[in-house]
Amino acid sequence: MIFFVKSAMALSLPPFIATVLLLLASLFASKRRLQILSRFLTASAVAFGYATGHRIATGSLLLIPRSVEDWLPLLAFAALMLSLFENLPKISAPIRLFLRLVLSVASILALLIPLANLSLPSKLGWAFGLGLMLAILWTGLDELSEKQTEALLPLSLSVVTAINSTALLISHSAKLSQLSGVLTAVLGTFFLFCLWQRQWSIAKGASGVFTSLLFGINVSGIFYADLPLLSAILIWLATLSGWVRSLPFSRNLTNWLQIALQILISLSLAAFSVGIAVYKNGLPTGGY
Amino acid sequence: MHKPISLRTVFSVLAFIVGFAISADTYEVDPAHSFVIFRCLNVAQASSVFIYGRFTDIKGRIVIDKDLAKSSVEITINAESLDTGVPDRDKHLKSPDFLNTKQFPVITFKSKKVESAGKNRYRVTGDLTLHGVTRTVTLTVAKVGEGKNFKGVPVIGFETTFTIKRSDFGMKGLMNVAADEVTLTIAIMGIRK
Repeated sequence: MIFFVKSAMALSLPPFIATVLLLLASLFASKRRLQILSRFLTASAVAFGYATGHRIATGSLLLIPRSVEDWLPLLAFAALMLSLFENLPKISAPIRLFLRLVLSVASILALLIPLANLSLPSKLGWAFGLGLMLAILWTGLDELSEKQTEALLPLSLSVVTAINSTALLISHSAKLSQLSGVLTAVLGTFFLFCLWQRQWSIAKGASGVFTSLLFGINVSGIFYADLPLLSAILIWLATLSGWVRSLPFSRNLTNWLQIALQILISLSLAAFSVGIAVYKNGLPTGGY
Repeated sequence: MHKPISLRTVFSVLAFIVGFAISADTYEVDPAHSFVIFRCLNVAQASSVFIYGRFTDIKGRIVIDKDLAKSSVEITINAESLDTGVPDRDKHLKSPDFLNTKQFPVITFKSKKVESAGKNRYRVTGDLTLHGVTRTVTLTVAKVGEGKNFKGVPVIGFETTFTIKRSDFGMKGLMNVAADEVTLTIAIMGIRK
């Protein structure tokens, strides 16, 4: 137990500090009415918070990727740059969606190109399929975070990434599990920040960086470890569970019931994801 | 007009080629009698035990020349063939946490220089490629024996043990689970072609 607590503290404390510092800078910029800078700093909080944890978990932060996981911080920074571009006033919605799709496909392709046992046409097929899913998830979460400017969303995402961490550990990758744990720490920091600053949300470009990272970690888990595809899809869907509150039947419910329903769906999808990972890989023998 | 090549020159060249062919023996690594074994301290178990494992799929070629400088060795190991006796551990070691065999399916060693290091001992310098990183290593190799096997085919066997740091080969994560230092023993037997 002490081993896991020590590991979790060593992994989560530096990302927590990096995220808090950048969120404070974003808050400062927001109060000075520098909205574009504020959005960029909020998105940077996810990217740099994750990069800090990534450096600790993998022991490296390379500009030229060698092993597949080296791509993850670069994907985060690419999404960060796109979020900066998207926040410019004159970017129309179709252009924004097109750019997201291009970056999503390119991101997945970057992760699949090093794979030795898959042909190029297969890699391209997977990259287009998963890239389209990533773009949809990105847009879905971005829209959701514009609607739900409350602490529940980052809390829900933090819990989902924590459960994803378990699924990845069962799928024989402690390192990818730790990287998902780093996202938990970053989103947990957002949750605490949102409790303090009630009108704060992750909508300020941060959702794109988060989605790219979660997707990248799970795609690595599917193709380089033993994470079942269905487990990954359920985790991705769990991040969008907040949309249930916009469904017609849900609008008649009280706010608390809506929140309970969102949490229930989120947890159920994530739990099913772990269940499928256990079904495929079996429970870890432990201590090997 | 070119001067015709003399018979003497032709014979000299032929003698050189035949002499070279005779002086160099090529051996194919026999997977059934070759072993690549590794040992690594399990830090997660309070550093109280070494984990041992092996790679079961080994290929390669050994060229033995009278002129030692012309001798060479090439070994290719299928990283997917890793076996520690615990399937879950094997999958973990093959995942991106360590070897990442889906991206780096082979481990290779290619000699660049072979020197004598005493009777039946050699200093072999070469490139070890592991986890996509190539580093030059110098190994002290002992000749275990040579002769004709029970089928009358010439065979030769070598063995070496050396230690690498996995972090030198880009495997820098999870140092609180497995130690940085990994000791490898390569024992190969070649069958003359």
